[in-house]
Amino acid sequence: MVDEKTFQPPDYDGLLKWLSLDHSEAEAKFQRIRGDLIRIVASRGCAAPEDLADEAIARVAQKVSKIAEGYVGDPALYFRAVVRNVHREYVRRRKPFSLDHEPWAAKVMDETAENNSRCIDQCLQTISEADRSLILDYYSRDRSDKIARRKAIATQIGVGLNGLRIRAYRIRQRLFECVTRCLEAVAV
Amino acid sequence: MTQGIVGPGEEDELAIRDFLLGKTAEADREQLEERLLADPAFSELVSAIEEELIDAYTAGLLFDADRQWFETRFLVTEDRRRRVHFSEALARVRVEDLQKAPSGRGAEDTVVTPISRWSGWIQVAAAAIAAVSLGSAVWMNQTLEGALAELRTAEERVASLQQSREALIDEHRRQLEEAEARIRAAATTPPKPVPAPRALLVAALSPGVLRGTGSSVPSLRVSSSALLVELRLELAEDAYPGYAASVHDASGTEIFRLADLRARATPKQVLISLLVPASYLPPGDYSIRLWGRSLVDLEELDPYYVRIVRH
Repeated sequence: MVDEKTFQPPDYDGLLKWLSLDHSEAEAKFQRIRGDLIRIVASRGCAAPEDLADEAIARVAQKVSKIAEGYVGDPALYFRAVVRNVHREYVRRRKPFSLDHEPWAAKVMDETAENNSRCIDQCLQTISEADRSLILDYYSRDRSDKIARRKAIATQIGVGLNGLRIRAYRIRQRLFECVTRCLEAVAV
Repeated sequence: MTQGIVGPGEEDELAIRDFLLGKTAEADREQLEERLLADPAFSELVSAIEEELIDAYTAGLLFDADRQWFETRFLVTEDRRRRVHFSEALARVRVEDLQKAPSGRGAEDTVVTPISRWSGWIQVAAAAIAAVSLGSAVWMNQTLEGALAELRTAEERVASLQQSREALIDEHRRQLEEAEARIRAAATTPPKPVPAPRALLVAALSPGVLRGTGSSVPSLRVSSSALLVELRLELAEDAYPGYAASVHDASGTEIFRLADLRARATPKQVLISLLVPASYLPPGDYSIRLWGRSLVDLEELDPYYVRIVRH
């Protein structure tokens, strides 16, 4: 039950400033922390990781003016401590009804598959030929000599396998964001 | 630029996959979670491996236990579900189709104006700058040579270390691929690429369509290759912060239940999506009971009905 006398609304601006005085950097750090909190909670088998992550963030934002004063160290680690508490509370309050089966994802069907294909074709045309070739080769399912092929690509562009993985991922992430925007435009 | 990234070791890959699939022991979890939040490069590596895990799922390459976890615990956010669709779409793109299409102008493309077309005074200024730069370049070159020699030595050491680590990782991957190949070879289905999972949509179910009332129960034809089935329950409005549902066979026996569901509003309707493994739904009639969750209680809403037909 919320105590109106002591309730503090979340101060998200203050939270961002605590992460960084540069607003763009703060936003990027915030999104990364949120994504990692969701991963942490999801890896513990929680059915609503986004809700718990947002709850943890809200709690930090409520207290940020007091926390930031004397806090030493990486702010990201403070979030971890809070999300652990939030998760413990979630596990305790779950009613027996909800313990047995967590919800499966709602997955969309052929019409969305068609839109995804259409959007990805469009978005692939917006990236350079080099990036297009890299991402399609790296994530291709067709090659049985996948590791050898990736090593060859890595050697060709002068990075290690790990560097290639990160480069391919960054291209993929840009592509994913493009497809997401495209699908949102289709849905409107 | 990602050149020269050494960063988190590639031997982290197995630990990260275990983490994403919920298999990390509690004793190891704390260290990994701290590293995830405190190290941006490690966080990015986890994101990259997460995408590859999604690809493995859509390619049908996860072992049963991992696939079950993936379907019931991993795909619990809208973002991850969209990434599954994205992974399927990316796999469908054929390199040869794209090679035929005209390529777009990429970020690296530049348009260079020939110097001969620059205006006169700019050409003079450019020549003066070039002359000064040449002198500076000669001096800097000598200083840089020493630094470059040291850098080459360091790079050789790093390359040697990377090779050793890569050889170890390659061996592990080779063993894993051999195991996967043996499993696939043992399957009775013909040797062709495993089809990506498809969800079949039921024409959105309306509440309260009862058998024997003259209204027909909606039928869903489920193919043998389907792995997942989506049931969409229409609502008149999104009146509750959350919902729970249970699915029952024709005898009323509960097959499974789902909690912490959320309604989704599209421009045309409000609906709740239930994703069910196809193996849980042999041919027959099913009812779906739905509850709205208020802060203190559950309130049962009208039920839904569906008939599963296999082909």
